[in-house]
Amino acid sequence: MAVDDPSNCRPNRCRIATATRFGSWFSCFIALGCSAAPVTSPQNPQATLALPEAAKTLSLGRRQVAVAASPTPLLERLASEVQQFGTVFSSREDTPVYHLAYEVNDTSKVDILASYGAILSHTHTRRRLLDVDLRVGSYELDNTHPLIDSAYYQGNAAIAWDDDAHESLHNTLWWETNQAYKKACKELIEVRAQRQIDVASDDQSSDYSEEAPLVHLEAPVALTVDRADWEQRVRSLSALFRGHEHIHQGFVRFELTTTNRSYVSMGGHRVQTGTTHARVSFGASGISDDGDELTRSDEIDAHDVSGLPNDEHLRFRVQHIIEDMEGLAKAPKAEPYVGPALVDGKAAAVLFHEVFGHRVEGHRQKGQIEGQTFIDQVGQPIMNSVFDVYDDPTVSSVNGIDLNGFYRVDSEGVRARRAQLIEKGVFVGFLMSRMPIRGMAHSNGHGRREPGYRAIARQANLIVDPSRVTSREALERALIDEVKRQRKPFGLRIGEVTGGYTTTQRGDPQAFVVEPVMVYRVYPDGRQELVRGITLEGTPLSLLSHVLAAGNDFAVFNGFCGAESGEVPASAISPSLLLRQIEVSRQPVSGQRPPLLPAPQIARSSGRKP
Amino acid sequence: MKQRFIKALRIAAAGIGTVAIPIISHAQIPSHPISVSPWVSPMQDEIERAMSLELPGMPRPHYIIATLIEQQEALVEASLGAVLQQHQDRSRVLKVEVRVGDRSFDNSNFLGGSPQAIVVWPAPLDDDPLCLRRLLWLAADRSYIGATESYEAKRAHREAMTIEQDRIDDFSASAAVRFRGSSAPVVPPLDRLSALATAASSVFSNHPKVYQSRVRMAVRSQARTLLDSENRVIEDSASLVEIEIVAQTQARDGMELSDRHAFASIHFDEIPTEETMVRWARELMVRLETMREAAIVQPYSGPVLFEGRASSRLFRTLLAEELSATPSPEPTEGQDTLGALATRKGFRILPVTFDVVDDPTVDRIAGLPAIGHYLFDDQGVRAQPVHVVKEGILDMLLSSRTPSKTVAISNGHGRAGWLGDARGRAANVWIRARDGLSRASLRNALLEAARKEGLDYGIIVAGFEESSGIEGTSFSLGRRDSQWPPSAEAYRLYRGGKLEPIRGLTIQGLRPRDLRRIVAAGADANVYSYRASANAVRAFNDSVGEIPTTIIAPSVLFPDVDVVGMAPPYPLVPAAAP
Repeated sequence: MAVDDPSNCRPNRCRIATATRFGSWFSCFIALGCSAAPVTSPQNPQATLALPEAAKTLSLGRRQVAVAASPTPLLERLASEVQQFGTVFSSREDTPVYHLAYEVNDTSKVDILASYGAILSHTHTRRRLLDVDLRVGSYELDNTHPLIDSAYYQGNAAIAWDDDAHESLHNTLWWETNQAYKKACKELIEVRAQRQIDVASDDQSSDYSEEAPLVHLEAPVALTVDRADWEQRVRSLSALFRGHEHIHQGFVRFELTTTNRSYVSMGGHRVQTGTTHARVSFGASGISDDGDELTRSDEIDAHDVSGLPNDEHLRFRVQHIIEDMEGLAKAPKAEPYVGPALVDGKAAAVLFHEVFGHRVEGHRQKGQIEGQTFIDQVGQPIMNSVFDVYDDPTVSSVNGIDLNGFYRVDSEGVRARRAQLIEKGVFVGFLMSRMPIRGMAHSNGHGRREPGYRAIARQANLIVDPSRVTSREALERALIDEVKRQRKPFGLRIGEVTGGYTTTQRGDPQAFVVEPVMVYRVYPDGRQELVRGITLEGTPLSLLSHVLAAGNDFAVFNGFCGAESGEVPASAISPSLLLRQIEVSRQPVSGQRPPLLPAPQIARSSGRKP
Repeated sequence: MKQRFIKALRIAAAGIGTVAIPIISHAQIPSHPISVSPWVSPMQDEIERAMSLELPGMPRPHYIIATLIEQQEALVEASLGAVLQQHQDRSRVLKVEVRVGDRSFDNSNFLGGSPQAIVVWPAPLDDDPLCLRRLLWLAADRSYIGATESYEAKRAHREAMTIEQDRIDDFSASAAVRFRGSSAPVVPPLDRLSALATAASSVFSNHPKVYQSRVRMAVRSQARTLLDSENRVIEDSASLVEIEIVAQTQARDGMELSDRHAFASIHFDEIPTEETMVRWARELMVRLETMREAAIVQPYSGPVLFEGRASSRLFRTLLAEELSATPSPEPTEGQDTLGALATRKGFRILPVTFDVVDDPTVDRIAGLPAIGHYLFDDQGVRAQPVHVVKEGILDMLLSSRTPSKTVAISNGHGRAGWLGDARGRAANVWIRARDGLSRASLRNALLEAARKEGLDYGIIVAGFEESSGIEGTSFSLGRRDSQWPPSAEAYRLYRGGKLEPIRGLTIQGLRPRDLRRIVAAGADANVYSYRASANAVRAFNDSVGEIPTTIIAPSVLFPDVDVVGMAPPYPLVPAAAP
C-alpha cells in the first residue's frame, strides 16, 4: 500500500507546511498568499539599488478576545487539584517537586473531505487530553536539563469529558502525576551524573525561568457548524476537478476545530483560552508524461467559520489550481541555476521562516549539538539596513488575512508578546520560552508545543517588515536589470511554494530547502515562462546577505510548523524580495508513469470503450 | 449449505467418538436472489478494462480482484463512571490486487518486490459510480505497476536460486460464484454503549488499590462487495462487537499487575446487559485485588494445568497460528514466519484423544460466540469446515488459493485483513478432547503428576496478561504480547485442595511439538477471541490485527513446564492520593 507521511519533526529538521492531508494515498503541502527602496547589504556594500518608494501595504489586525467572567468548572477543578498534588509532591523529602502544571486541551473537530465530486470522509471527533509538566531539582538545574540535546515527546492522557466526573479526573491526575514524578526523579539523577562527566557548557544559564503567575480567562468556544451545508459545498467544489486530463486526484477539504485550553500551575497560573480554526483547502495531483509528480494546492485559514470566503471565491481558487496544473503539465523541466531571483511574498515568508526563524529559537543557542548560527551575532548587522524582522503572536491578521500563529498566552502560561529579532538590519534577540539562555533570562511568550510534547521556543507570526518598499512593477524591472548586469540568460521568479525545511544541528549542513511549485523564468525582454521540477537551497547567512530590495505586496503563509515540540500553527509574512543570487537544483523524480489506460470519463467522451 | 455443514459435523463427530450435545450453531445464511448493487457494474467494467493493462515487454494481468468495504464503527471508552472518549465513523475502502504472469508463476507471495501490488485506498462515501470507477482505474494501474515490479524481482530471485523439480503453482483454480447475503446491520447508538461502559467502569470507584481501569466497547458493521476477473461476485456483510474491561495495579513490592475481561461476538443483540457488564467488572476487580496480595512465584519445573481462558490463549500460539498451508513468502531468511506445522501433515501433533476443526461457517461453538465467522473468504472462496486434526494426527491445513505441496486448492481460509495478502489462516478453531475430565478430576491429575515429581504442589495458570485488543484507545494496559506474557491469574494447588494465588509467573519454552505431551484435558470449552495480524512474518506489534479469530479449547495438563518469576526491580509504587 502506498502511504505518504508528511510528518517531519526530527529535532534538527524543522519544517513548515500547510500539512494538508488528503486521504492516505495523497498528501501535500501548500503555501499561501502573495516588493523596494535603495538598500544596502552590510556584508555587501556594493549591493545598492535605487528604486522608487511605494506605499507600504502592511496592516496588522489585533482581534479582541471574549473575556470570561469566571473560570470554567474544569479550570477550578484543575486549580484545586494542582494545589493538592503540588503540596504532596513538593513536600517530598528526597526529591521535591518545584514546578507542577496541568494543561487540558479539549478539542472538537469536524473534518469533511471530498474528492472528484464525492465525499471521501466526514468525521466529527472530540478529544480531551491532559498534559502534566513536572520538574524536580531547581530553576537552576532540573530534570529537563538533557532536553537541550534530547527528545521532547512525553505523551498525554485522555480525561473525562464530564466536568462533574471528579473521581475519574482525580484518578487520572494522580496517576499521571505519579508517572511524571517517577520519570523526573530518574532524569534528575542522570542529569547530575552527566554534569560531573561532561565539560562545562559555555552557557551556564538556568534550566527554567521564574515567571509571574498569570490569570487570563477567555470565554470558552463551542463548535457549531452546518455540516450538511459544508458537505454539499466541498462536494460541489471538488467536482470542478472532473474532466481535466492531468488531474488524477482533486480534493477539497473543510476543517473546523475548536480548542478550549485550561492551564494551571502550583505557582498560581490560571489560564483558559478558547480558539477556533477554520480551514478550506484544495489540492490536485497528477503525473506528467515524463514522470514528474504534479501537485498544486491552496488553502484559506480563518479564526471562525464566518471568516471563510463565499462559494464564488472558493470556486475561483479551485479554478486557479486547475489552470496551474494544466500549465505545469506542459511546462518544461528546469535545470540547476545560480542567479538573481524575485521571490514572491509567500515564498519569501517561507524562506525567512526556514532560513532565519528556526535559527533564532532560544533553545537552539544552548544545545551543544546545535549550529548556533546567530549566538554571536547579537548587535551585529546581518542583512540589509532597511529590514526589521519580528515575531508577534498577538497579531491576529495581516491585511485582513487571519493568521494561524495568533495566541494570547503561550503553552507555558506566559503572555504572548512581540519579540524583535532584527532591527534596521541588526540582529537584536531570540524567540524565548521559559528556557533561559546566556543573556536572556526570561520568556517572551514563545514557549509552544503540540499537546503531548514539552514546550520550547517556536515561531508564531514571523513578520518581515522593511522600512522602505517599492512597487511590484519596479521590482520586476530591477530583476531584469540584475539579469542583464550578471549576463544571465534569465532570472527566476519563485511563486507558490509547498513548504520547506531546514537542518540546524552541527554535523548536518547548515542549510535550508524551500520547495517551490510555480517557478518562472524571467527573460530580459520581460517574458515569463513556467518551469517545474526544482528545489531552492542555500545557507542562511549567505542568503540574507543577498537580499537587495523588497516590494510593497505583503503576503501571508499560513501553515503548520513541525519541530521538536510537535506541530504548531504558524504564519510567516513577507513582501516580495529581490535576491541577487539564489541556487536551485533538480527535484527528485517520482519515476511513476501516467496511467496506462485513459480515465473512464475521458474514454467515454472519446468514444473508446470504457 | 446447511446440509453440507451437517455432513461435515458428522465426519468430525465420528472422529472423536461421543459428541454430547449439538454444540455448533449456524449463522443465518440468507438466500436472497442474485441482484446487482450499484457498485457491481462499474467495478466489473473497470476490472475488465484493467485486464488489458500492458507495459511493453512485461507480463500482463492474469487475475484481478477488487473489494469495496463500507464500514460503520463506534467506540466508547470509560473510566470510573465517566466517558473518556467516544467515536462513531463511517468509511469506505477499496482494495485492489492485480496479479501478473500466469497461475504457474506470478508476482505473488514475494517479500522482495513492490508493496504496491496490493493497493488499499479510501473510497467515496457518496454513491457515485463514476468516482468509484476513477478510483478503481487509478488503483488497478498502480497495482499493475507494483505487480510487474514484484514479478521481475521474483523472477530475478528465482534465477539465482536452485530450481526445485516439483515446483508448485502460484495460484490455484477456484470455481466462480455469485452470492448476495444480508445487508450490514445498523450499529447500536453511542448513547447505549456509553451507558453500559460508564456503568461497568463505576465498579472500580472507591477502590484505590486498583490504580487504573478502563471499559472499552467497540462495534463495527461492514458491507462487502467483492468482484474478480473470474466473474466472482460476492455481496455480503459482517459485524463485530468487542468489549474489554481492563485494570491495573501494583503489588506492595512494586510488581505491575494487569488483567482484563474480554468478550466478542458477531451479533449486536448479544451485547450484554448492564448487570452482566457490572458483574464482569466486579469479578475482574476481585481477581486483581487477590493477585495483588499473592506470593511471588518461585522457579518451578513440573506439571502445569492451563485452565479456562489460559488454555485457549495457549492454543492460539501453539496451534492456531501455525496451521497455515500457505508457503512462506520468498525470501524469508532469518524471519519468524507463521505456519510451523506446515510440514507436519500426517504426523501426530496432539494426543490421540484430540480432534480439531476449524469452521468459519458457524457463529457459535459449544454455546460460546465465535467471531471468525464468514461464508466466503477474502478471495471469494466459499468457507469450509476443515477437520484439521483427527485423533491427534494433523490431517489438513488451512489453505488459500496459493497452493502448497500439501494442499493444492483453497479450503476457504484465504484471509487477508485490509492490508495483507490472502493466506491460509485460522477462523473458528475448536479443539476437543474425547473423554475430557471434570475440573475436579483434572486438578486431581495435576496433584498426582506433582506427587510423582516429588513436588508439594502443582501450578494452575488461569489467565495471561494481554495488551488491549481494541485499537484507538487511549490507555495501554499490560505488556505487548511476547510469545508468553506473564500470568494474570495463577495458583499453587496443594494436596488437600488448598489454592494459593501466585503472581509474576512466566512460562518458558513451550512449542507446538509440546502439544503431544498433554497428559489430560478437560470436558470444558473455553473461548478466546482476538484479531490476528495479517502479517505473513511475525512482527513486534502483531498482538492487535484485523482478522477476527476464535479459539475454543478445553483445559489441558502438561507434565513438565519450566516456570520462572518476573525478576525485580519493579517500578516504585505511586504515592498515595491526597
